[in-house]
Amino acid sequence: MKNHKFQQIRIRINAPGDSVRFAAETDKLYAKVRGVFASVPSDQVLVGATMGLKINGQDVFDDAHEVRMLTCGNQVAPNNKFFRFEEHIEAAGSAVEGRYTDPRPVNLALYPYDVKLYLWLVNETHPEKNP
Amino acid sequence: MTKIRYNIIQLDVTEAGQVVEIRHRLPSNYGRCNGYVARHIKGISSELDIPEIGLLAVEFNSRKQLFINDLIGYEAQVEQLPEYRELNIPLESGQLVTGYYLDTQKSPYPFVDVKEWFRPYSIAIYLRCEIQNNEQHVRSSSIHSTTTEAAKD
Repeated sequence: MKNHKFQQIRIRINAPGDSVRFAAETDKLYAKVRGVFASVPSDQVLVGATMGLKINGQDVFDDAHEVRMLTCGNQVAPNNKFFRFEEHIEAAGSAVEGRYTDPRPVNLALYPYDVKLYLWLVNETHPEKNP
Repeated sequence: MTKIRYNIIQLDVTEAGQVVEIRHRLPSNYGRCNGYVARHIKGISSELDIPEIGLLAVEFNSRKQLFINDLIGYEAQVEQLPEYRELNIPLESGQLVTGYYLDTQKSPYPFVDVKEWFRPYSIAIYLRCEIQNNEQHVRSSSIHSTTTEAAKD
């Protein structure tokens, strides 16, 4: 079985200032969420955009957490794009919940757009369960 | 099991040369602060990076430990992931995070005073803190499909 999977969650933003809740479930075949990467179609919607995230009932980011802290430019190598979690975050069918808040940029031509949230799932064992 | 939480301190700068005081209480269950990022979040608009827009000093445990002295810059384009700088500060329960932010922007135009050119902006300090938590995880038994819905509020 493969040890890595990049699971995508799409969030549709229809209008400036939208605050959208999203919910998903991680793939049951993978044990841990190693990292997260957020992709938006334009830098203009990035300034001031925020995203809260909760995985398996565990608060990962508050609603005021900037999306900019979870993304980077195209010049960054794929292996370095993800924000990596230091702690163990269980996947294996965990509930993923969150809220994306759009920052009300000036350019209305950008709407609607999709935010793509990628979860990096791996099959590493929990160090405290299997030292 | 150690859990990580990110605590955000947002500061609004409304005048050129302003000193913004930081006075922030961290949740009492935070045991240690192990990293931070401080950055401009909104307000400034420029096509070029600005290496310095202000100076930041942050103290922990109600002024017992001065641990952060930093320059804050402006990033014109999205490049690298913001990287947390290492800290290792045991937190005393209920104590304050204090300090100040000083705006040091200069007008890019030689004959325009910075007060005329200045626009309000915000910076954020992200503190990465450890929580010692002995509670077991609560697994959700409900099935969540990949859906999105607009919030009512």
